[in-house]
Amino acid sequence: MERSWSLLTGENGFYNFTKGDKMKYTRILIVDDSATSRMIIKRCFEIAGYDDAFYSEAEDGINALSLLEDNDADLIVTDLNMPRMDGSNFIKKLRVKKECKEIPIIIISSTASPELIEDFQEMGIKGIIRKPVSPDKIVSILGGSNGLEQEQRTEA
Amino acid sequence: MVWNKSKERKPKKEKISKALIESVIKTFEEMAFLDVESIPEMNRINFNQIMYINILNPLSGGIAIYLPNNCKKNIIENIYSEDMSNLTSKEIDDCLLEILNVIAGSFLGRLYKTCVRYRVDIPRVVFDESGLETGWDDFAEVCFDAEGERFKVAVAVS
Repeated sequence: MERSWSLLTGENGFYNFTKGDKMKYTRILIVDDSATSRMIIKRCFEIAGYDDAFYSEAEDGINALSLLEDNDADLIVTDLNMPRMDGSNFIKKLRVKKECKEIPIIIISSTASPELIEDFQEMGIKGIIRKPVSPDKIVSILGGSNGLEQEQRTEA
Repeated sequence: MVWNKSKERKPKKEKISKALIESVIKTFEEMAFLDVESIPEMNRINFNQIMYINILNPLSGGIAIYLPNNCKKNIIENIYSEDMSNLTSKEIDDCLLEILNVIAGSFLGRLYKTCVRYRVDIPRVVFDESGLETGWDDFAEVCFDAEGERFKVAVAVS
C-alpha cells in the first residue's frame, strides 16, 4: 500500500495520513458502540456530500467483521474505545483478511491524538478525527465527494 | 468552583479546572448546539441523572456530570432533533454518555497537548453519588448554565 502521507497539525482535531483522493465512497461502514455517535457520524458524512452513500452500522469490531462477511464496504469509519472488540483489534483483524486489506479506514475517537499515528500508520489509515466529528473534518480528510482538494501541510 | 483538597493548592489544579471548563463549553457547543458558560458555585442543583467516566491514562481520575431533567431534555432534543418523549431510555442514556465521552477526550487533549496517549473507560450512568469512585486526592466541581438550565460537572484526579 502506498505510504504517501502528510500530517496536519491536528489543531482542528484531525490528522490526515494520505493525500486527498477524489474517490466517491458509496458503501460506508460505521463502527461505534454509541448509537448517538453513529447517527452523528452518518449525518456529518451526508452533509459533507456523501448523502447518496449506503451506510451500514456496527456496534463493535466483532459485529463489524460479521457484517463484512456478507456486505462489502469501500470506506470504514471506526471508533477505538469499544467493548468486546476495540477499534485497534478490529483494524488488525480486518487487515488480515485478503479482501479487506485495501479498504480505507478513518478513525473517529474522543481520545485521538498524534501518538496514535505510530500505532496506525502502517495499517492503511486515511486519517484520525477527534470527536466531535464535523462535516468540515470529514471533508478535510476525504476531500469531499465532489473531489475538492484538501489543504495539506507536509510534515517538516 | 470548589476545590476540596488534601494538599496545598498548586498551579496544576488551575490548569485542570480550565481544561474542564473549556472542554465542557466546547463539547456542548459542537455536539448539542448549546451555549454554555461556567457560573459561580450554586448551593444545590437538583439533578436527576449522573453520568461518570473513569480516566485511565495519563492520569487517574474521573469526570461526573450531574444533569437536571430540563437540561437533559434540551441536550437530547438538540442532538436528535426530536422530542425526547419519542426516544427510548437506552437512546437517551447513550446520547448523554457519548457527550461525557467526548468531554473526557477533549479534557485530556487540553491538559496534555502532545506526546501522550489518552485512555478512558466506557462511560456509565450511576443512580446516585454512592456509585461514584472515591479516594481521589483532589476533586473540583464546576457549575454551568446552558441557556437557562444549570448543571454541574465534577472532576477528580489522583
